[in-house]
Amino acid sequence: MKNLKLLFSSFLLLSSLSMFAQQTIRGKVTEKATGEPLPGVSILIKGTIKGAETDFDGNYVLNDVKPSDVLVFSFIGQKTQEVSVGSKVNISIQLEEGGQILEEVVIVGYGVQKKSRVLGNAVRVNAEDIKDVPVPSVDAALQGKAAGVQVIQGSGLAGSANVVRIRGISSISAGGDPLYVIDGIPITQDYFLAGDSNGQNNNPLAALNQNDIESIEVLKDAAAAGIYGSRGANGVILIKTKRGKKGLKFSFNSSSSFSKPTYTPNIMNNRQLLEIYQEAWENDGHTGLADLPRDISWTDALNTNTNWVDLVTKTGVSSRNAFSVNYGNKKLKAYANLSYDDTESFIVNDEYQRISGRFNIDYNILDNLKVGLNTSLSKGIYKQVNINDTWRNAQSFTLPFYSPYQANGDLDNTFPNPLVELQYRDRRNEEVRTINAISLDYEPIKNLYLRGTVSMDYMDFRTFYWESREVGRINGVVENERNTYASVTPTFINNYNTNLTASYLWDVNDQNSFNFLLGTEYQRSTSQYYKFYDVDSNLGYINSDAPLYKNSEDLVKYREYTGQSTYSFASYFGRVKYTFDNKLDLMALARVDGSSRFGENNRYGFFPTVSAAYDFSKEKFITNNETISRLKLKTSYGITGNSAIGNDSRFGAYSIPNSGTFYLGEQYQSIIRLENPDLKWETAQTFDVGLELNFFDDRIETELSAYYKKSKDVLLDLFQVPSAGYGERLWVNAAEVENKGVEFNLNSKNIVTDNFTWTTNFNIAHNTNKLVSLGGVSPDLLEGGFNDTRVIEGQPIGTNYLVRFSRVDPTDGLPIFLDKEGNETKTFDLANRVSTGSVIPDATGGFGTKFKYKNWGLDADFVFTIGGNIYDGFAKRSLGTFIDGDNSSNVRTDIYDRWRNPGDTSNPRVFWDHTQVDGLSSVWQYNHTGFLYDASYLRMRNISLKYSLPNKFLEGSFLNSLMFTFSGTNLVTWTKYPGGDPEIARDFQYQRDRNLSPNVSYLSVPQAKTFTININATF
Amino acid sequence: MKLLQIKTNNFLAVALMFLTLLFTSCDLEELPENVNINDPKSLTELEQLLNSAYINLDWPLGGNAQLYADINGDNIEGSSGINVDETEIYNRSTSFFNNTVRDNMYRGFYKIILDANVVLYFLQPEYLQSINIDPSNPRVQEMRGEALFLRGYMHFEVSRFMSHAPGYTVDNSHLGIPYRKDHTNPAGELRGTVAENYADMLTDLKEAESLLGTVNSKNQYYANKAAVQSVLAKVFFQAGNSSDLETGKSNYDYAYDYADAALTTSSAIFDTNLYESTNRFAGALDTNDNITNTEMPNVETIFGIISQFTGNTHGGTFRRYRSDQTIGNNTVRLMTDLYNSIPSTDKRRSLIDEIDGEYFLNKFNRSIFHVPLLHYTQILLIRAEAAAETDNIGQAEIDLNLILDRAGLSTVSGMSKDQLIDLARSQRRIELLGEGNRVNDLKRIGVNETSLTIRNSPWNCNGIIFQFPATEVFTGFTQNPTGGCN
Repeated sequence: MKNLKLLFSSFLLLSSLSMFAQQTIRGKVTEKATGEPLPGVSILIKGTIKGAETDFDGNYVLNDVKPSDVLVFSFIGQKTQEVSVGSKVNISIQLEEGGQILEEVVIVGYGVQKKSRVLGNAVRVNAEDIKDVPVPSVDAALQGKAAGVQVIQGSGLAGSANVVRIRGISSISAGGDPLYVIDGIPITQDYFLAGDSNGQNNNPLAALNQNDIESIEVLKDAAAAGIYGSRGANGVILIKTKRGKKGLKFSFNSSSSFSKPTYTPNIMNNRQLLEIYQEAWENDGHTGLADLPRDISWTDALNTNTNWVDLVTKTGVSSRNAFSVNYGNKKLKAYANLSYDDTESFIVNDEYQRISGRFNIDYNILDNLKVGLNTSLSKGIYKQVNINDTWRNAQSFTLPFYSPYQANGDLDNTFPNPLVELQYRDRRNEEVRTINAISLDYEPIKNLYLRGTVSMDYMDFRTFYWESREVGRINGVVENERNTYASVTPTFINNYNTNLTASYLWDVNDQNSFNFLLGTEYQRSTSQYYKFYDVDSNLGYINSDAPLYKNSEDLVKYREYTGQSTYSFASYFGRVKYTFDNKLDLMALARVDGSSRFGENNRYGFFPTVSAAYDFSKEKFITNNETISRLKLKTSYGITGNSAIGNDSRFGAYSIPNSGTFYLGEQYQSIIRLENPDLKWETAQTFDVGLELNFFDDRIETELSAYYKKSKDVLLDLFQVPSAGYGERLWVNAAEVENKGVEFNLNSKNIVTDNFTWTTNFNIAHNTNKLVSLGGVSPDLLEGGFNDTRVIEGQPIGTNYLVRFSRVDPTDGLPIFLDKEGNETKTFDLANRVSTGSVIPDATGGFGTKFKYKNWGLDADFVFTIGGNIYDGFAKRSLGTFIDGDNSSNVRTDIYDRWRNPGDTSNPRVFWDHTQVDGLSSVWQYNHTGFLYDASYLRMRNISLKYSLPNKFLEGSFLNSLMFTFSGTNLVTWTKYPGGDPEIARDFQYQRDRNLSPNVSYLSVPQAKTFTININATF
Repeated sequence: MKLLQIKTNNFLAVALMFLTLLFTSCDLEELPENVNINDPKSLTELEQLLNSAYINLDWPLGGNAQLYADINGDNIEGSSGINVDETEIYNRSTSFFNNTVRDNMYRGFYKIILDANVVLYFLQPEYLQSINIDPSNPRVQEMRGEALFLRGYMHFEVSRFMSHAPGYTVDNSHLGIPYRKDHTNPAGELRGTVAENYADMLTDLKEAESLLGTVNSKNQYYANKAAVQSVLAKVFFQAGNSSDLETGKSNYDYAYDYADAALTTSSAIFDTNLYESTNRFAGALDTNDNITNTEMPNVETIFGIISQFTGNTHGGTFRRYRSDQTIGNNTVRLMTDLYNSIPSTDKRRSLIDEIDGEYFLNKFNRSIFHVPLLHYTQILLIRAEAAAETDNIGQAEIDLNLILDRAGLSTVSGMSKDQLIDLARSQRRIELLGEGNRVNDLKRIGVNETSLTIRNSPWNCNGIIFQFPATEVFTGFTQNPTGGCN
């Protein structure tokens, strides 16, 4: 995309050859404060789009300039300067910090545009904001930075995936995540490659090194995302990697981090817990000492106090190192990076190691022909533990009066002992990924740019699992029947993409110009998956090489399954943009998308968008206005789609009768599902208005937007009615969802002096979401998964659906509920569930502040969430309500506030047995509003202190710059939620969970509190 | 000028290439790899679809349904040995919400019904002709009979969990289950009344009876006429105390007739050595406790689930009873009073092991099973009780004496009708222990003995039948009421 911009520039130089008396201007641009050369400064001839850009040393050459021209120098973060050419041939200037950032060039789908001319709603985060603070996944850098972009960071587990929601949730069963496009390639984005294994979903961005990122752009509305057609409905995230610039520059970045959980479980020790047990025992009318689980004696219990949480957590130590080279001359520009990251989380045995390399090259074959190559190769090794067996059990079912070891010294495996998981099982994912693209840019005639790209995103993803036969050790002896088990589950995904675009610029005259784009794209992605396993009585496998798969002879020995699945997209798109007098922009675009996923009757969809913007900044009433410096209005309407559904869901299917199983010696095949020839994308119609308003010479920039988004034919992945007999789910286009919201963004430069600058930013977004219709489908058919949220017509998506808790009966400490009509009842009946809370907050946002004093910088970023609910899915156990025999759980210290004597009105009493609550058939069904909490929180996401060594120290050394950054992540959080970290991304089972239940917690792994020191050197 | 010429040509070439690429259309047909997307094209494929229904019998009837029925009744001591979901069944308070074992069993029955419906759909003459199969092919008719048999039989089994037995209301107008006859409807269907359900079952089963021969031509263990007659006997017997399902004869009359016909038609025989050397459930096992290719199911089997290879075995849930392995949290315990009700001289008392004051059934002490779903003793006991009910005292005595004699007990003679009925019922409880029979007998008996209780709860209390899974319920669908059983 960057190439295109360069092309534009070179085209401009060429195109003006035949014009009037012209001259060549050279010069150098430096930064006023530091005197350092500024690369990448844009130099435009005023009133035109002709110009040049400075190289690494700040030099530029601009041909064909008329004496009457005025040059406009602009650069991000610097004040724009205008210089009349006159007779000068050398114009060197110094730019002052604090200028407007409007002239930034931003990526749009299939091209670039000047930010001031962008019609859509897009937000950009630059390399500068990403590089210094390690984030678990690069999209985390968006958190709190863009109004209407809700980023819920994956937990503190190494390498976990974020949940990103743009402008609310409009999908139910289909993927609600935005489309990720890296350097123009829609990447493989499968969160469920390894299911919900080990406490998290797969992160599609895991292979990406944050040092490689040039910018991340979020396309929010139809005007911006519309060009992505059937995949644009939930927004698009464009990630651009760094490319070579002129000059030679080396850069080295190294960081070390230490992390702890943001929340340490407040659970009881042995004596505290025994006290609760005894109280529950007596509450239920028993006498004597309570029966302890596993027939443990009271003496042993009183003398054993194991801190299980300590045994499964630690201080995570991480290091990241990256070395990059930039080289550029007139013909060749290259960027190369090699990095090695080793990230440990605070959970024992949870570690992500990644080595990655990238090589991006641009070569000008001819003046009008350029070839570009991106290639990246990475290998990630993710050592995991089962979060249930460690983090969760350590604070729940593994009680403090259990000892990790038996008398004979063996690990005690007669209860869920976390050490069994840590010592006798080994889990690992390995991902080798390479994303490659070759592109050709050609300008056959003036103003016509052709671009062709071929790309491949290849992923080799393998899940390994080992379990030692020691797991089954009984009384010091390993069970004879027990074997060591090892399995490998490889998935190979080949994702090809080709696209071809032609764009034509037509400057009719000084005032009127057109920009046409026509393009086509074809994508095909094939996944092959297998599972192999082996069992062996040897003790070999643990931590040894992978089983089976290495050895071709064994390849089919124990093959559990194999399969392949493919999807393809064929698309045609066009865009026309008209600009009048740099004031009015009109744009119309359309995309026709066909996909193999859509049923026969709906193979191709049509997705049009229109938009308009008017910039009043040059009108008299603004130019004469002291306060307002910019006023721009924009609006758009468009139709986009979401096609994140199963590849084969449209097909009617029978099982293939060759799976090696027979009945009475005969093969069998069985119906799986009926054909759905009507299956198609879900459709979102979005209407958007925006107002950009700047004050005081752009010292204060604001943007206010409002949108209305109606999603129809929303995809539902239904359980089929069990009496229909089909086991498999059925995809149908049925529901209708409405999202509306407002977003506000404010950036201000509070103080700008030579030595000191202070800038702040603030954004907030409010979204309301309503399920208009489920299309006649019973909400129960959408149930499933771990979480007790559901979809109810007229309510927001992801409504908590719970029995209402009213109060405690002060006479006996029993809970009193409300029935459907609101009458108090002591009977717990799931039929009394009502829609109560919502997992969707009222508002989300962030604010940040940056101070810069000479060579020092201090940045702080905050994120917040207002309103919405968190449902604590484990509180039914951890708030001590039921002991329930052998399944008893540890409890949280919050339980101290409970009913103990008649007259107490706090929390309900503790129970020995769940049947004490009338109507409760199982403790797992005890979900009620007593465990529903306000989800509001304010979190200091990041604070960092930077120091750049002054130039005078570096003179004479080989270094160009040297910068130290000390940062802290998640150091402080203000929340009313007592059950853990209020920012929850758990191990979702299905896409629907990701969409509907982000704020349902079940002993979820908290975020990490991290301290980092970072060194960045360039030379 | 020449330069320009070349450039123009180049441009045209590029433009042409571009336009070609731009408008190349793609068919976008990405066929799935690991499923078959084609409807059956041959008799073999139709047989494969039907075979699916047979292998799926293991899903609900490989021990699950039998165990849950017994947990629901009065044979099992449920204070330990059963899981949370099963405890709900034991407490007769199944919740519509997420009772996994209930959901799984329910779905299993309907999966077989689906398989049968798929076969019936493709066995329609028009479709057969389109794939060049003669609709009058005898095998086609036989397969139709098998599918109808499985459809009727599975509806009968699932209805016994989900709806009150016939006789709960005088005219059986109480709600039954959705009777599914069409696989192309993935949506929910309303519940019929029990009267309608039983009428549907009888229609299916009677047609199946007419289509099937004494021996199945494909494989002797597939359904045959005697299997259908056995189920018909069970259906009428279950409705024994209800108003007549058909005009002309009483339900017990029909039960007698069909039981008698089944025993006559079938090649199955009464296993006089059942409690000496062989085992009704396991057939003969080799020394490694494995069923081998050559070993046959027990001689009493009229119809059942057959395990064939060690890697392809069925009936696994019966292992939950095993007393010869470590007694654990999921080993099923029997009621003490059941054990005490069996005289010490009764050979069948040895079916129960006492371990540390708890009682366990050793009938299933095997790793692998043949599961005789319909067997000689079961149908014989129907004939005996139906005979007594219909005043055929002689036949009742003959049949019951076979049972008593085999158990090492003295035979009876000169008993009254009521004595014989009681005797038959007590024998049914012991002979069919672990086979999910007892609770359905009690629900039948309760129709006449209205004060009957099952573990201290009325035989017809709400919670004795299961709640439908939440996913089955849609607007207009009536869920079973809860409570009333404790």
